[in-house]
Amino acid sequence: MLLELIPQNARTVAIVGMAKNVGKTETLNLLIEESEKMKKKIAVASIGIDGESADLMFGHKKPEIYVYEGTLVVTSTKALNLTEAKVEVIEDLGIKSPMGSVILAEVKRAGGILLSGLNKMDDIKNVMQKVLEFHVDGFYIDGAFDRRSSAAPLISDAVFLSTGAALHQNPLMVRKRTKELVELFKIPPLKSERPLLEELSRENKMAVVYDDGVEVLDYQTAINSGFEIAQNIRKEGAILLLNGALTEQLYRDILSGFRFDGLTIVVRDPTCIFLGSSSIKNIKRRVSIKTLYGINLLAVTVNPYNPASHRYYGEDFVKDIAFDLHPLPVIDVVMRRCYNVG
Amino acid sequence: MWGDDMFLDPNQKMIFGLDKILEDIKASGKLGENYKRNIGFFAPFEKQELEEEWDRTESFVRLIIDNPRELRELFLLLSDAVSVKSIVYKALSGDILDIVDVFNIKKFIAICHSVSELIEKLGIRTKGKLREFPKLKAFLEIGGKENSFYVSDDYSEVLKKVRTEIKNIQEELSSLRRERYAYLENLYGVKVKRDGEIIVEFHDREKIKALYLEDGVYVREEGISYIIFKVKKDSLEEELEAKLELLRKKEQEEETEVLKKITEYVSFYAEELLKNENILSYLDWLQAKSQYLLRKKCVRPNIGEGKITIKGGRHPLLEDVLEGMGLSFQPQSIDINKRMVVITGANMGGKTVTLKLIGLFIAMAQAGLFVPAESFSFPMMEFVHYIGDIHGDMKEGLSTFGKEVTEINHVLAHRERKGLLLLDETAKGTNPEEAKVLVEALLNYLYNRSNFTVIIATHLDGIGKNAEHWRVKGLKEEVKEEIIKKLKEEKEGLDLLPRFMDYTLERVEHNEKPPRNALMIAAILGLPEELMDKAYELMEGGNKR
Repeated sequence: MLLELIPQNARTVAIVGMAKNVGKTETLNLLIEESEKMKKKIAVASIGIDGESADLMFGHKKPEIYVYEGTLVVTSTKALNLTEAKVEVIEDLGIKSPMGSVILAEVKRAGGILLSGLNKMDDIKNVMQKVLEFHVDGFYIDGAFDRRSSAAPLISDAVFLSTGAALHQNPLMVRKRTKELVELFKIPPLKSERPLLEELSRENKMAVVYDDGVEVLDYQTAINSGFEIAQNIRKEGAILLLNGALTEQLYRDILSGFRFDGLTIVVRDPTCIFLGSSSIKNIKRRVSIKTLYGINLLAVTVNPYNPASHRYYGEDFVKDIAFDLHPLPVIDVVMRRCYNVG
Repeated sequence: MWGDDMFLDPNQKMIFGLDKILEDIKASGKLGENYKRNIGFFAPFEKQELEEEWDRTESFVRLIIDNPRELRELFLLLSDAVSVKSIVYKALSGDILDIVDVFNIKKFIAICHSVSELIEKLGIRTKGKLREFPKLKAFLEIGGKENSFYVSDDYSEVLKKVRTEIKNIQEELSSLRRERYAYLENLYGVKVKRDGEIIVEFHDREKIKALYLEDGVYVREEGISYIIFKVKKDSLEEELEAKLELLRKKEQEEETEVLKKITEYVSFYAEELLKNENILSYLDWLQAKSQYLLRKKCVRPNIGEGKITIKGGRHPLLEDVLEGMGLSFQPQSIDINKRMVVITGANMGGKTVTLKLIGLFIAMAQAGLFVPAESFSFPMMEFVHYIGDIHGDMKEGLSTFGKEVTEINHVLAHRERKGLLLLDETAKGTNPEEAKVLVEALLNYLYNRSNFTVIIATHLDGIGKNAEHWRVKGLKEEVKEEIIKKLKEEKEGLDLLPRFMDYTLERVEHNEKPPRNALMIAAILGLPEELMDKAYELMEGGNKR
C-alpha cells in the first residue's frame, strides 16, 4: 500500500507527523510490515523522542514499533532494556545521548522496540551514511515535524506526511491545515542561479540577485526589515534570498515595499514558509515564492482517530482530505485504505 | 617524562607555537588525539629513552616511505579504535557490562589482533607488545559473528531452551489472535486493529447490533458518531501471556549470567586491556608525528654537550604563514659555543623569531619530535623560558618594565636548574643608560650564579663582555637606493621588507657597532617623506659632530 508508492531510486524515506498521535507510528509499522512481506532488507530510526521514553521507562506503555528479524535498527543502550525484540549490536555509532550510546543493531527476534537517541542534524546525516553502507533496500526515519527535525525530509529521498484527528478538534481545521502544508510542499524548487544561492544559503546569508550582479544584504534577519529590504531592490526580475522563515507579516512587508513587477523570494526549503492559504494562493501574481531545496512528498497518511481523546472522525473525513489533495495519494491508516491511487 | 615541566609556565607552550604544531599533528583516531593531549617531555637524565624514542620515530618514518600502502590498513584500524577505559573500570567496579560494552570490548580485541599482525608483518618498532586474548575472544564469538555481539543461544542450554519456548508461545499467541481477528472480521465485516480495537460508525447499525451481542468483544468507547469495540482476551491467551512473562524474566536472568561471566573476564584482563590501549594510543601518536615530520622535512636532532647548533632551521608555523603570502622562510643557522649569547640587529630583522626558534627546537626535540632543519644539535635542558614583549594583561597594574623584572625574579628562583633563558629586548621600556647597566649586571649575575644558558636579543651597544656575539645582517646599504626606488613604484612597504631583508646571522666581535637600519625601515613602512628627510638630516649632523 505504502511500499508501492516509493520510487525505485528512493532509499531513505522520512515520515513526518503534523502533530503527536497522527499515526506516524502506524505509518512506520505499515511500512515495516509491507517490507517484511516483500522480503526487503530495511533499517529504521527515529528522531527525537517526546516523553515516550519516560512512559516506557515507567512501564505505562509498550514499545509501539514492531520490527522483524533481520531489520536494522538505530537505537540507544538504555532503550535496549525497554524492548521486547532481541538485537545483535553491529556498530557503536559514536554518538552519546541521554539514553546512552547510539548503536546500530540487527534484530534477532521480532518484537516491539524503542528507537531513540538521534537528535542532532549532523548525527542524522552521519547515521544515514553509515546505515546505507549496510546495503539496505530502504531506510525509514520517523521524524517529528518541528524545527529540530524539520531537515529530516530535506535529507531524505522521499517523504510521507502524517496528519489526523489529533491535529485539531475541528475536522475542518485538520483539512485546512493539511491542505496548506501540502501546498507548501508542492512549491517547486528554483531552477536558475542555484550554485550561487546554495553557497550563500550555506553561509546563512541574505542577498538580492540581479541579472547583472549580486548584493549581499547586511541584515542578521529579515524580520522587521522586510519593507526596507524590498524598497532597496532596484530592478524587476530580481531574486531575494532569505535566510530564515517567511512569515505572513514579512511577506506583506515585502509586497508593500517592492516598487516593481516581478520578484522571486527564495527560502531554503518549504519548512521555512509560514503563510496562510490565502497568501499562498496569491503568490503567483507579483511576488512569487520558490524554495532552494524541495521535498519529494509521496503521500499523506491520515489517522481519523485520536487516541488521546478517543475521537474518531470517520471514513468520510479521510475521503474529504483525499478530495482536497487530489491527485496526491491519501491513506487511511486505521482502515488501511488508499485513495487517489490507480 | 614530565608533562608540561619543560615550561615554567604553560603559556610558554603558546609563545613558542608548540601548541599549534601539536594541533597540526593529526592522529588517525581518538586514542592518538588523547595521547597527544597528554604528551610529556624527556628530562636530561632520560637521554637514553629519548634516543630510543627517536629510533622508533626514525624507523616509522622509513616505513612510511617504503610501505605506504600497507600502512593505510594500520591507519584505518587506528581510526576505528576507541577507548575501553571506562568499560574496564565499570567491570572492575563490579557493575555488569551491557551488550554495547561487550561489543566495544570485542571490537577492541579484534583491532588489537589485527594491529598486532601488522606490527609483526611490517616490523613496526613500538613501545611494548600488544597482548592477545584468545580465551576471551573465543568466548565472545560463541554462536555469533566476528564483528558484532549478541548473547546467542549457544551460551547456555537453559537460554536455548527458554528462547525456543518463547518463540513457540509467541507464535501460538499470534496465530491465536490472527484466527480470532479473522473470524470476527469475516463474521461482522469489520477491521480489527493490531491492538484489538474495532471502530464502527453509527450508520453501520447492523454491525453495531451484532457486535453488542458478541461475547468475544466489549465496548471500549462510545463516541458521538461511532463505537469502539475491543476484542477480549480469552483464558488461553491470558495463560500464554503470563507464561511468556515468566519466560522473559528467565531469559533476562540467563543473559545476565553470560554478561556476568564476560564482565569477570574483562576485570581479569583489566591491566592488559589498559596496557593495550596505551600501546595503540602511542602507535597512533607515533604514526601521526612521523607523517608530520616527513611532511615538514624534519631531521633527527643530536644531543651534544653545551653547544647549540642549528643549520638551516625553519619555524614551521611562520613557514606556513609566509607560504600563504607567496614568500618563503629564510632558513636560520647559528652555532652557539658559550653560555651567554648576545644577538643584535635591525628592527624586523627576525631576532625574536631566532630566539623562539631555538626554544621551540629544544622543546620539540625533548618531546620526541624531529625539527625542521638540515641539522640540529643541542644539550638537553630542564626547561626553556622566553621573556619578552608579550601582550600582557593590565590587571596586575605593572608596566612592561615592571612585568619584566617580576618575571626575571621568577626565573631566578630556578637558577640552580639547567635551563635555557631567552631574553628579548630586556629593559627596552626604560632609558638606555640605566638599561645598559642593568642588563650587563644581569648577564654577569646569570653567568656566575646560575646554570642557565642565556640568549639575549638587544639594541643596546656594547653589553655582554663574557658573551658570544651574533648579528642579523639586515638591510644592506647597497639595496637602499633600490628599495627607495621600488617604494615609489609600489605602495606596500610591509611586503617589500622581507624581500630585501637578509635574516642571516653572522658572528661578530664584542665591540662591533650594530648596524643602523631603523630609519630606513621607518621609511619603508611609510612614514611621511618630510618627516624622514628631517630624520636623515639630524642623523648626518650628529655623525659629523
